[in-house]
Amino acid sequence: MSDMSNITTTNSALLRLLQLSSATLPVGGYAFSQGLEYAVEIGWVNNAQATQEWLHEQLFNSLARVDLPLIQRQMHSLREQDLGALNYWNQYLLACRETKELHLTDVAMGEALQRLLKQLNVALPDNTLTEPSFLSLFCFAAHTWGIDDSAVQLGYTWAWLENQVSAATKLVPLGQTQAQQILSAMQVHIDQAITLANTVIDDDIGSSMPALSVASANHEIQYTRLFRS
Amino acid sequence: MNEMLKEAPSAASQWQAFLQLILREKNGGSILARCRHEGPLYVQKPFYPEGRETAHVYILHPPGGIVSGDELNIDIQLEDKAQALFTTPGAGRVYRARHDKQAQCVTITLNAAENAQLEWLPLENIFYPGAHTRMNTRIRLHKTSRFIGWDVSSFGLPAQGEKFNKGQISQRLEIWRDDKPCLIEHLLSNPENDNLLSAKSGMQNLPINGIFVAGPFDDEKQAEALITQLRELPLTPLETDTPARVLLGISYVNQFIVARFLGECSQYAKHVFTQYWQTLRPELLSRPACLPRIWAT
Repeated sequence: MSDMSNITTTNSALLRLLQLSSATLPVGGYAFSQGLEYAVEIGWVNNAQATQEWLHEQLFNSLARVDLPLIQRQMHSLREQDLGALNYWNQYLLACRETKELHLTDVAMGEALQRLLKQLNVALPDNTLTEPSFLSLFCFAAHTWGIDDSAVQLGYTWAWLENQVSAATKLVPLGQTQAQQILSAMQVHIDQAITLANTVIDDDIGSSMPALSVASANHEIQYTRLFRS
Repeated sequence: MNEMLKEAPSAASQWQAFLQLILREKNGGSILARCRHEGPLYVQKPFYPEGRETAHVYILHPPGGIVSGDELNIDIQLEDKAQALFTTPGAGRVYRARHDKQAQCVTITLNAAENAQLEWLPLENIFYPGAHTRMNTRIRLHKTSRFIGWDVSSFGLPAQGEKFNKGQISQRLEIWRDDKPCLIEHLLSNPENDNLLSAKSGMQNLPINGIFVAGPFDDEKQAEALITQLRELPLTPLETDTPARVLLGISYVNQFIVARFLGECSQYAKHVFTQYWQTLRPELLSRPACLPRIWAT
């Protein structure tokens, strides 16, 4: 278990974390199902149980091995004001996105977050990153607001989870209570995923979930679609 | 003394094999300018079935498989304007690990310099139940060089009904262009501890996993048109039993066309990827596909 009691986030930073991780953050997250829409269409995910398994597998195979280790590196790059490293890990993240639409999810939400942060007067200077990802900008905002690394990892994971459950609610579909049950069941594993993520060395960052990649690639040509990924 | 003997690895059963190749463009031909090897890993003289511009190189590993403690290292450099296609005459077997679970390692590094054209089309890997392997493939491309390659892996021996139900696989593929990461994939599976092989988002109990990569295609419109063409290919079934389940997905990521295959038959994966290669080669390398002769045998 990672020691969450070590979180020293101040009240103001905690409120910022809630703001940044909220489903109401206007970055268009609701428009991206990240392969789930195709998985539902083809019958791979057809009930609450299957939804939870789909998310559980991604939490440990994808977030814990790509996103969460990279949050650690981006927070470090920001503390060190190392723009070279910030760019490198930003590109690395995008190289880990398996399909055009998974890549788009990050970049489109990244652009939206950059626009929003400008309005909040905390934007990353333009052209700092060649193709700013949502993850890098999430870290930049968190860094600016004094949120510590473990809290950023928690908040980011929560934002991902809530977004996916919300997509599943529309697609599978799930009832509101089922959605809350999945959120409750998944929360228990987040700490474990972060602990795992913090052991991943640079040379091991990366993941492969073959059927998820197939789902996302085929979503590009799905006949009727509600979601952009 | 007896204790020491017990713990010493049995050197006779381990191979540290190494192969280093340099391909060089000379007077319009691609020659094997350097070939160094140690252990049971080497190449024959290159073949030139489509003219001297493009060398066809067969990488030979006579043991045909690796056991605990084995390490295979392949390091290939294509110098400016060199053109080469690499393949293998047989599957790469990773046998069940010994009791000490020492890893079975394969490290492949492919470099393509300015305007070089590199094709990496090996036969499949076969992971025997209980294998404990780490396979790393790193491809480094100059901005102007081109690459087509694939990797097909069989988890267990589906034809014999042997599932990959124990062991550990760590399989990493990296493509870099001008020192920037373009594609990073790292499959990690330990069926005793995780569900990747059975999960709906993982391999859905399909034993054959393959990835095909071609690029770069800097013109997105062209790439998308080609992807449409690949999606519409009438993938003729093999003469033998057509596999029941196949999942295919093709996308355009960081200037590369990336296709993924999940299925039940590695022959079929190779069959599908060969058709992708035949379609894309004329576009990317301005040459019609020329099947390596060894595939016909």
